Amino acid sequence: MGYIKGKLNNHNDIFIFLDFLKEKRGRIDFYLPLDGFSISLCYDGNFFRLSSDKGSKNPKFELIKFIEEWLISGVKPNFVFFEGESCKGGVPLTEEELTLLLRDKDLLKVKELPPSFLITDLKVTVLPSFLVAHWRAAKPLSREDLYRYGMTYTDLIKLIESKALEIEPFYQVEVFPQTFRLFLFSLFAVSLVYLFFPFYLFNVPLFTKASALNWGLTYRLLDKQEGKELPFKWGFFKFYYFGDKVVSPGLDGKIGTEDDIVINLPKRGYSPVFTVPER
Amino acid sequence: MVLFLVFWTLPLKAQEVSLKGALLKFERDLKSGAPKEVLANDLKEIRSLKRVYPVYYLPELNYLTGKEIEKVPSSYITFLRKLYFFGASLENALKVVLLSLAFYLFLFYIQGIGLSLSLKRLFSFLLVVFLLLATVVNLSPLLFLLGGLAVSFSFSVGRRYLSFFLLGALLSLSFLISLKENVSSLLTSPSYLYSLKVERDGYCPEYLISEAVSSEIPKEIEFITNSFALGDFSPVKKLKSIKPKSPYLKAVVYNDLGYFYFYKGDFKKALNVFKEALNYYKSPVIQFNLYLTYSSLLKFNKANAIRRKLLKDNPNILKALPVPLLLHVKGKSFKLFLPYLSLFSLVCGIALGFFVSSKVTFALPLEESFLKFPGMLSFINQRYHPFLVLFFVSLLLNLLIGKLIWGT
Repeated sequence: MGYIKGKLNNHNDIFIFLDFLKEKRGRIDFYLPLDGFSISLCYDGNFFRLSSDKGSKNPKFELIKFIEEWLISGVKPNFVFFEGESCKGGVPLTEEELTLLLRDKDLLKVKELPPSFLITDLKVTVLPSFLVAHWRAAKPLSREDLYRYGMTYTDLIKLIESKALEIEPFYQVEVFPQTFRLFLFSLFAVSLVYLFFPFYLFNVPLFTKASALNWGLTYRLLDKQEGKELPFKWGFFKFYYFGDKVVSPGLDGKIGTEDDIVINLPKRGYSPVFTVPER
Repeated sequence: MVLFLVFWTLPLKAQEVSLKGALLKFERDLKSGAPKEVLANDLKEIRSLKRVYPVYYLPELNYLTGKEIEKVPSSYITFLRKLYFFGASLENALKVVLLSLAFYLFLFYIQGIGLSLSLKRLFSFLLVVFLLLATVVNLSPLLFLLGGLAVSFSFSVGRRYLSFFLLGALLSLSFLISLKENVSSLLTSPSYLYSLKVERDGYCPEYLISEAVSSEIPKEIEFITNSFALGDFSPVKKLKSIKPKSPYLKAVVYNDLGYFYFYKGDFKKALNVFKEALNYYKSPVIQFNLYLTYSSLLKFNKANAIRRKLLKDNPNILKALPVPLLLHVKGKSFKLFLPYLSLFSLVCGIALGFFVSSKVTFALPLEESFLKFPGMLSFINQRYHPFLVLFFVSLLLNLLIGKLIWGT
C-alpha cells in the first residue's frame, strides 16, 4: 500500500480530502509539525471515522482544536494519505456532520481572540462552572485552559456572540516580549548585513604588499621626496612613500593615527633588482 | 651552424658587461637625471644583455620608467587572489545561511524545552549572542561548536534533512576557511613569492632570498646563483669553496660552475661539471645545459641524443633561448593549514547537543509571542526558500561590492 505526503495550505482543502477518501478509500493523518498533535480521518464506505492520536473520546473537539491551532499559529499541518487502509476505531460521522463542523463561520474568527483574557461579565445560570469560577476570582484564562476544560475558542465565540459573557484581553508575561524580540532580531539583522559586505577585502597588506614593495622601492631608488603618493590604490586606500616604509592612512584618511597600515621596506638587498610578483 | 655561432658569440659578449652592471648604470642615470638618449641607450643595452642570460622578464624597468616596457605575464598570484575572493564571498554567503538557520533553530528549541521563563530568555540570549559573535568576529571553533549543537538539536526535533544540510554546510564552511587560510598564507609567503619570481623572471631580489631560504649555505648558494643569472660572476671563488651536503644543493653548485665555465668559453670544463651535477640531481635544466655544451663542442650526435630525450620528456624546455639555464635553491616548505580545531569543535558540538537533547524534553505549545518573531513561521513551516534567497543575496552583494570598490 502506497502513501502520499504533503502540506495543507487552507483549511477548506480538507473538503477535497473528503471526496478523495470516498473515491480511493483509506486513511489520512493530519498533524501539526513538531508539537505532535495529529488527527486521523478514514472512510469505511458509509461513514467518515475521526480519531485523534491522544485517543480522545471526543474527536469532534480534537478536530476543532486542531484547526484552531492551525489557524491561530499559522503553522501549516502536514498530511499522509494511506491508500486502501481499512478503518480501525474512531467516531463515525456523516459527511453532513463533518461539513457542518468545518464550515462553521465562527471558526474563522478565532484569530481575533486574545491568547489570554479576563471574563468581565457573564450569565451565571447558563455557563459552565469553570468559567463562573474564573469570573468570580477575576482569574485570567488562556486558550490552553479552555482546551483543558473541553471547550474550544469557537465555543467561546458563540458564547460572546450570544451575549452570555464578555471578555477583555489579559496581557500575560511572554517568553519573548516585544523588546526582547526586537533586540535579538536587530542583532541578527546587523550580523547579516555585516556578512553581506566583503569586509575581508579590508585585509589590505594581503592584497597590496607586493605593490607597496615594488613602488616603495622604486621611489627609494629614484630618491623621491618622502610623503609622496604612490601610483596604486586598494579600494578607498591610498598609499604614501616614507623612506623606509609605505603607509596608508586607513579609513580616517589621516597619517599618524592608529588605523594606519604600515608596510616596511627592506633595508638592503634590493638593488638593482627589487620587484616581487604583483599579479 | 648558425645556432653554434650564436652560442659562441654570446658568452664572449657576456664577459664584457653584466646585466647587473647595466641595470645599476640605468639606476644611476635615472637618479642623476641623465638625458633621454642616455637612458634609451641604457635600456637598449639591458635588452640585448637580457637575451644573453637566463632572465626572462625585468619588471623593474616598468616601475623605474613608469611605462610598460616589459609585458610581464600574470602569475598564479592573480589566480590565487581570485580564488581567495570567490572563496571568501562564498564563505560569507554560507555563514549567512548557517547563521539564519541556527538562529531560528536555537530560539525554537529553547522555547520548546521545559525551563523557567527567565532561563529560556537567558539561554536564548546567550546562544544568539555567541552565535553572532562567532560568525562576525570569525571565532571558528566557537562557530563550529554552536553549529554542531544546531545539527543535533535539529535532529532531535525531527528535522533530519535540516540536520544533514547543516552538517554539510558546516563541512563546506570548514573547507572554505582552510582554503582561504592556505591561499592567504601562500600570498604572503616569501618562499612562494620567491619560487614564483625565479620561475617567471629567472632571478630574485636578495631581500626576498633572505626571507625565503632558511639556512645559511643554501642562502649563500642562491645569492651566487642569482648573481650569475644577472651576469655577475665575481662570487665564483666563493662558490668553489662551498661544500653542501644535500645532493640537490650539490647539483645547484655544479650547475652554477658549469654555467660559469660555459660563459667563459671553457666548454670542456663546463661539460664535466654539468655531468657531475646530473649525477646528483636528474633535472631537465642540467640536461638542457649538457645539450648546449655538447653542441658547442660540436659533438652533435650526443647533443641530438639528449635533445630527443628532452623532446620526449620536457619539450617546453627546448623553447628556451640557447643560453645555459640555472637551477635555483628551493625556498622554505609551505605548511598546509588543516581545520583540525574546527572539525574537533564540530564533533564536540554534535555530542554536546545530543547529550542535552537526551536530558531535556522537547514539547511544543507554540507561544503567540514566539510566532511573532520575523521569519519564525517560515522556519516552523519548513519553508526554506527565504534562507536560500539570503544566500544568493549575500553572495551577489559580496561579489558586486568587491568588483565595484576593489576591482577584484
